[in-house]
Amino acid sequence: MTLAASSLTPGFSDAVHQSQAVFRCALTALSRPGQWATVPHLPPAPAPLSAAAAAMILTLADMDTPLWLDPVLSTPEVTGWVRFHTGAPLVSLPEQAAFAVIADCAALTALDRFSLGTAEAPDLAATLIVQLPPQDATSPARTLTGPGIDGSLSLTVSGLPDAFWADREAFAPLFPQGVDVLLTTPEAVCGLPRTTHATLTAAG
Amino acid sequence: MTDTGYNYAYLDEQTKRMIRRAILKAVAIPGYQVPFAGREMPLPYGWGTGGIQVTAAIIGQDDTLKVIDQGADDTTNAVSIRRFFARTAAVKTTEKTVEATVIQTRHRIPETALTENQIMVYQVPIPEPLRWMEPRETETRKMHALQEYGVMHVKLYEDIARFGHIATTYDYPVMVNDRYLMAPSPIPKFDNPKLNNSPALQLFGAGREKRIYAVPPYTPVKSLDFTDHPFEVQRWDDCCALCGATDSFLDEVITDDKGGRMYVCSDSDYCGDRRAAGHVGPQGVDADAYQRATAAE
Repeated sequence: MTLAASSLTPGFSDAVHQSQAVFRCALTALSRPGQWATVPHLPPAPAPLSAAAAAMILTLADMDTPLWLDPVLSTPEVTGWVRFHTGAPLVSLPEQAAFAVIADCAALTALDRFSLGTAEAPDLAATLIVQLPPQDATSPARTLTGPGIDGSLSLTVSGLPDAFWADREAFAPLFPQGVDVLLTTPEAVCGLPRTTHATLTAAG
Repeated sequence: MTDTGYNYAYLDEQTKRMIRRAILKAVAIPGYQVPFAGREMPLPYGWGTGGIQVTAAIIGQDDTLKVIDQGADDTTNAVSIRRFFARTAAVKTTEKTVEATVIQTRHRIPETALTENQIMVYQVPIPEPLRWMEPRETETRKMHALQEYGVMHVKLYEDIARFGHIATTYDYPVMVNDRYLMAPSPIPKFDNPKLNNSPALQLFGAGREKRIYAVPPYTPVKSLDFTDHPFEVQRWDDCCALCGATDSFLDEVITDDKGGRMYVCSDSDYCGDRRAAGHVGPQGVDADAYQRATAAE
């Protein structure tokens, strides 16, 4: 199926400086896990790809980074947009991906589908860019600890299945292997690197 | 004045993306050395090619850059790197630690406490702390994977056996987040405690060896030691001859050929700030008197 040129939305209007600013936002997010950072430049992304996730893709992906889009995102508009703006090879298997973009959060289970890297080269692990559904405050808070966090902090995120959190904790003994996650709302990003431990905050 | 003919911050966009991805993985695995495709830079290896590539990948128009070489802002390496980024990245530069958002450093950490809004970029000659004991990269990789760091303790023990104390004074090995053994770059061990639980993000770039590693903010960094030989930093009997500081790292300066010497702060900004605030060392001149003297000339 070919993509009509007229339906292709633009990327960054100033690729050099906007990708620098978005990278610093991603760097802040991963070095200070659990704290939301506002994405400074939001490109007009084709639905269902969110603007914040699109900004991360434009900033980090290129022909060297196999990219996996989950089934919800594998529309001709999104794949065409990613191919045109980044040239990233789109892969069909999650384990081949350097970056995986997920819109269907409920299906974000079995994180071992993705590359965890190896003990000798843990940097080959995948980075997951997750588009969260609209947030409500009904989900339980989690207490985060680990590098980048001064003591501990509380994070409330709704829309992620329990299996997601359970898998992350199951990977902890495998460290340095693991996956790094960038959670996104339409305009902000929050990092959950593999070093961050999340436990359900005890009631009371 | 910004030079034209180069991309912003000298490196091309694809190179910056590659370095940025390496930096993100380095932050996610504190202390692990991420290989990256280091580029040829317009200066020789050993002059900060790794640090410059990291700085070029992170710096933006809103940043204020400070560059220090052994603590000083006014040495050749610091001046030329600062000028390089002023010309290629149109970035504001400063000599004040408190004004800087990005601080590229060769072999010192500023005396002034760092903040959450700052990023330290270290220039690293040899990123692999185990390299002197094990020359093969395939083996050191395996040793890091298995957390097999006994040889480093043996090296420190040999110091104790030979000299009675741990004689390593710079590039003193540290454990990051209780997992990875890391070379903190050739900073004096005096600076090692500043690595621990720092509010600032710390990035390390090795250009010749093509490695990037990181210590995220608020990450435990422990200098290796033994219970009966605990880690200690250098101490001086003298204070800074110019500003009288007793809490900073002092350089010994030979002043004549008759054994004359003075000790001065290695951190030129810290020393200048103290003198401006009225602190005067034994060989120092009162800041007002100095201004009157230079104005009279």
